[in-house]
Amino acid sequence: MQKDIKRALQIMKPELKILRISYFWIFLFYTLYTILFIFGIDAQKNRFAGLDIFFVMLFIFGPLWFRPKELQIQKPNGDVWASPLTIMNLQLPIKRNIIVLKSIIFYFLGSFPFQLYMFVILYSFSPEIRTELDLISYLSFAIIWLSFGIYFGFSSLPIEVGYKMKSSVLNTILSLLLLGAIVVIIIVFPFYFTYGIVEWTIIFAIKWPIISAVISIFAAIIGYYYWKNKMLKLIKQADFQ
Amino acid sequence: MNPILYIRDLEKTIDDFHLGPLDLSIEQGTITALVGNNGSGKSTLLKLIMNLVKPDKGNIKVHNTLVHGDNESWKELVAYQPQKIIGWDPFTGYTLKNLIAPLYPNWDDKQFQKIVEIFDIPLHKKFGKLSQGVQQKLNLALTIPRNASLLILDEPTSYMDIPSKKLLIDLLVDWMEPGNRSIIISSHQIDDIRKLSDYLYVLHNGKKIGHFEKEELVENYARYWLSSKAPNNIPGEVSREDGVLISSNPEETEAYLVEHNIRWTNRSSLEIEDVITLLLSKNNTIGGSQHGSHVNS
Repeated sequence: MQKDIKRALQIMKPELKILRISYFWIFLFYTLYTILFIFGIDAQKNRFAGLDIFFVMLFIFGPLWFRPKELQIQKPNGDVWASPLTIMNLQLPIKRNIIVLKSIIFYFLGSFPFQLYMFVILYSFSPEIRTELDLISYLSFAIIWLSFGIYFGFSSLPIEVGYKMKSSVLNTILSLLLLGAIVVIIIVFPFYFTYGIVEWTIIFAIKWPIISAVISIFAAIIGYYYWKNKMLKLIKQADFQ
Repeated sequence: MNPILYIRDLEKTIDDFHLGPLDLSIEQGTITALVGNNGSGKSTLLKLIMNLVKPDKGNIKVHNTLVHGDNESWKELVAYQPQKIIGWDPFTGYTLKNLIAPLYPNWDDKQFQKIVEIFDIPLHKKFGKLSQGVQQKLNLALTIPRNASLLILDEPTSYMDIPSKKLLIDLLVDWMEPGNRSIIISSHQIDDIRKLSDYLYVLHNGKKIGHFEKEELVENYARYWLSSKAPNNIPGEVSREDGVLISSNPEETEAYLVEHNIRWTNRSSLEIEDVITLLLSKNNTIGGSQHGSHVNS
């Protein structure tokens, strides 16, 4: 495993170089978002779900938002979508499991450090958060969301390594409907369950900090292996025409 | 001796295009030109060899290792230059070289420097900012020095200027010197085919027309200027226009002409491009199996 990680890091060196500017923008974005969160936390208590939507989207798609155009997924030919770097790597003597691992590390580096940074400044600069959550509960809250960024966030990774999807009006409509449905669920959530999604995770972190953290870490480990195997299956099957 | 590349009963369907069934064996020390009309499946075949496209049927082995299996060690033994380069745009030549060179145990840095020099390739510029011709040259500079035993080139000279094409041919001839290497080159450039190839693997609309030894193939065709009237369907006849008959079996044709006292004023052999045109001609109903120069693939 260590050898594989070393190999993956060696291969992604050139990519990391061109991502330096992107990382600056991600850093700036997380800073601004955290400020927004600090000021908007009161509004959330009044069943305002805007922050929930943003929070969920941030932990799933955040790492992909600032990716340079040349590294964004493409559909070179046929119906298979993939990162251009995956196609480039497949033409070289790089094993498929290393390409998958590299995609995961690539995503992880663009998400985890910035999410961690967000949680640190959120706790440091929000007296309201500090009043509501003691350190243990806050750590649990951070673990819940950092783990979510893995077991849910990694769901945006399979498309990097070869995902077959026909471009059609029907598919576009279905994708938009799915996204719309997620947004609607998040918006109506507080009306049916009293609190919003983020608020509920705060409640879990306060009431059951250890159990919530352990379950989240466990889910993250399962999620990691699930998405990794799914990606390996896809990369083995895809036709990169 | 095991062939470097072994393909048996290979078939692939993509939408309404069907490739195969194809059989092919590539031996050490040979250059095979992959020839065919546009959309004949040349690039798809090369992608199948590289396991970028998965077959519906059949096997492909590189040095006796199945390319579609879990063992990926064969990749070090193949250097592939695709027709359309994906993923290189944001990187400079230096960066690409630093990425690619350590992946190949036989990488020859001197050869890389030599190719960069003779093609005058700017390594500090991003790949995406280079002209198509220079991109192709850089791609070659990053492919040939890998010194893998099988070099696969998909339309390597389509954007290159005439002097560069000549330089490349010289480079590839030198590269073949050790004798244990092979090249598969897909090309529409007749000079590449004429000067480089030992064998021709001809495809037409996904079907194999034949696998031929180049010199033998050319020798097996002849053109006759007939001076007297002759009946249709002379043995070996492939085409006839204004009294000029082309035969794919000169021996049989001549025997027939002599026997029937049909005279000809001149006889000449065909150029390789004429033979390829005949092979790929829509109206050409002659299957590869009828040609005497077929290679046992």
